Amino acid sequence: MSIISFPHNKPLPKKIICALCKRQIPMADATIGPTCATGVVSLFCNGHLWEDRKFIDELADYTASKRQELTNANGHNLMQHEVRHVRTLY
Amino acid sequence: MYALYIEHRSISGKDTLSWDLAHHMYLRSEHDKVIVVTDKPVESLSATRKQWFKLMRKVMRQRSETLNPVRANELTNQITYMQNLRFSAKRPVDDLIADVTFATADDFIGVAPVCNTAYVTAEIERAKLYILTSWMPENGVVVMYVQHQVLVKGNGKEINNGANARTADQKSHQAALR
Repeated sequence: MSIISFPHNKPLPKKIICALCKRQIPMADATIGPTCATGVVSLFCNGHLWEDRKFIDELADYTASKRQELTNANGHNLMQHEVRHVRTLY
Repeated sequence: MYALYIEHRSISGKDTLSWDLAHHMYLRSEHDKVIVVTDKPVESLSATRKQWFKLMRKVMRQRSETLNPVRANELTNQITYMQNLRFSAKRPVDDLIADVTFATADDFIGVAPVCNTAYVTAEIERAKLYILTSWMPENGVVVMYVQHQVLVKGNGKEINNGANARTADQKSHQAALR
């Protein structure tokens, strides 16, 4: 069981959704996960911690997707930009 | 603590504090400083570090099993992070040198630690907690462990602060779990 209190400048969300399994969970079953680049804390089911193997895989997928979102946000993916504008001279 | 996330966690009978600490630290995966406020820094460090390495071996196994290149890459990053994480139970002097520092509340108050995550495993006064977290950045996380009763796995005997331990290792381990 865990009780989470949010900062005063951040309202308590109406629905708490697990970032891994995308299910709605009660506050008592939630735990605080990683903070993303925008400063938003993600919430996870407490139960994921017990299933080690599944948890490790799902967390890796989640982190990778978040990283990709950040890289691609607002067209800041510099590598793709460079590749798109490459000119080949013969 | 107005700009911080605060989580109150309790440990159920079958899990240990060190297990929960290691898993929660892995879940947070903050590449920043972490502090653990405890009454017994050295014992807590050794127990948590052991759980951390156990978890690292599981991550290694998962990486070797996966065929997904994105996941494998991410797990490789995680393993690198886990291998390079530095634990310390030395009393901090000016700044937090290690990534994860275990110390008592009084030791931390002298430093005013700047960290993103703080685990409070011992009972401390509210005023001390405010001082401890005063330098934490916005959106930092404070995890407070409420009083728990730890049982020995398997035989169901209650740990009595090392009183039922047969060896010195068991005694220090049981003391760290409390």
